[in-house]
Amino acid sequence: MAEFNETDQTPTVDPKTPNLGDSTTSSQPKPEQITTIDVAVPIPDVGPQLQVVVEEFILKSGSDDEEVRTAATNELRDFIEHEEIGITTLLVVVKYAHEVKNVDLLDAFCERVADLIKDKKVVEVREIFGIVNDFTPGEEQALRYEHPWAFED
Amino acid sequence: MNEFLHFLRFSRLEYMNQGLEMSLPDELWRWILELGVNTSCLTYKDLCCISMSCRRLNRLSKEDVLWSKLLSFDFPAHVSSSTDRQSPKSIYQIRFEKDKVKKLLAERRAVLRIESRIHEHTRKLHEIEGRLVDENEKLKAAIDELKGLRRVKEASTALKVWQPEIIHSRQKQIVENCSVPVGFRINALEMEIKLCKQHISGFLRARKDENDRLEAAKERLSKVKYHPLQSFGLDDESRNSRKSTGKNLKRVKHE
Repeated sequence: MAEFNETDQTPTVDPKTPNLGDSTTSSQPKPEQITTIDVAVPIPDVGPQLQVVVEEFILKSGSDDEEVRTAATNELRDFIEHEEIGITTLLVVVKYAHEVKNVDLLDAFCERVADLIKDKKVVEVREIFGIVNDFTPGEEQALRYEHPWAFED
Repeated sequence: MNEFLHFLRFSRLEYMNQGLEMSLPDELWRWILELGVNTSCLTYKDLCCISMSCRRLNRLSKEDVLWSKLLSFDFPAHVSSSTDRQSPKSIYQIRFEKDKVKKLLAERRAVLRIESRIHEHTRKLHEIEGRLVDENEKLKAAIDELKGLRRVKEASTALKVWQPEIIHSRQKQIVENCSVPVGFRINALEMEIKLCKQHISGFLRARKDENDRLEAAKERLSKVKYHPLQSFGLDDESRNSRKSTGKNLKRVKHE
C-alpha cells in the first residue's frame, strides 16, 4: 500500500472515531523497537505513551496475584477509554496481543474496536476500517432486502 | 497516476485506512465480534450493518455462534429444539418480527384505553362546566333579588320619617308591591348566596382536578405514541451488567 502523507486529518464521522493523528504509525509493526523488558516478541511502535502502558500491563498480567491482574486490567481499560487511540494503533496492538497470547490485553483492545463498530451505519463502518465494498450493486440490493427488519423505526 | 486515480475513487478517510480491515485475519475478527456480542456491545443491528460492508465480514457476521448468543440474550423464553433446521440468524429474525407485532398490538390496546379515559374526563369536565353555569346563574338571581329587597327595607325604614310627598308615595309603592316577608327573605337569600359560592368553589376545584387528570392522560398518550417499540424486554441495567471484565467469556481457540 502506497504511503500517503496527510497533514490534516479531520475525521468525517462522529467524534468517537479515533484521531488519525498517529503520525508515525504505519500498518506494519516495526519489530526492531527495543524495549527495556525482555519480551519474546517486541512491542511494536505505537507511540511512547501507549508503549509504556502496554509494557506495564504485560508485566502485571503475568503476576500470580489476581488482584494485581484485575487492577492492571482496569487501569488499561481506563486508559483506552480516555485516550484517543487511533484505529490503526488499536489493530496493531490487537495483532500483537494475539501473537503473544495475552488474552486480557487482547480482550481489552478488541472491546474497544467493537465499541467503534457499535451503532454505526454501514458506510461509517466502511470508512473507519477502510473496508472495500466488494458487492455488486445487485448483491447490495439483495442484502438490503434481506435486512429491513433490522432497520425499521 | 495510479495513485491519483486511487485517490479519486475513495474518500480520504477510506484511502487512509484502506485495507485496515484486511490486516486482521478471520479469527481476530471473529474474536472481536464474539466479544462484542457477549458484552452486549454489539446488537443485531450492528451485526446486520457489518454483514453489508463486504463479503468477508458478511460471512463472519452470520456465524451461528453470534446469533445463538443474541437469541439467548434477547429471546430467552423460547427453547430451540435440535430439530431447528434454520440458521440462528433466521430464527432471530422470525422472533424479532413476531415480537414486534406483539408490541404493536399492545401499543394499540394501550392507546385505546387511554383514549377512552380521555373521553371520560372530557365528559366529566363538560358536566362540571354545566353545573358551574347553573350555579352562577342562581347566584346572580339571588344577588339581584337581594338588592331589590334591600331597597324595600330602606324604603320601609324611610317611611317612618317625614319626606316630601313624591318620594313618600314612591316608597309606599315599593313597600306595597313587595309580597314577601322582607326580613325573612333577606336572611334566606343571604344564606343561599353563601351556599352558591361554596358550591361554585367546589366545582372550580373539581374542574381543576378533572382537568389535571385529563392533561395527565393526554401526556401518557403522547408518550405511548412516541415510543411504540421499546427495546427488547431488556432494560439498560441488565445490558450493562453484561459488560463483564471478561472472566465469563467463551474462549475461542487461538490457533
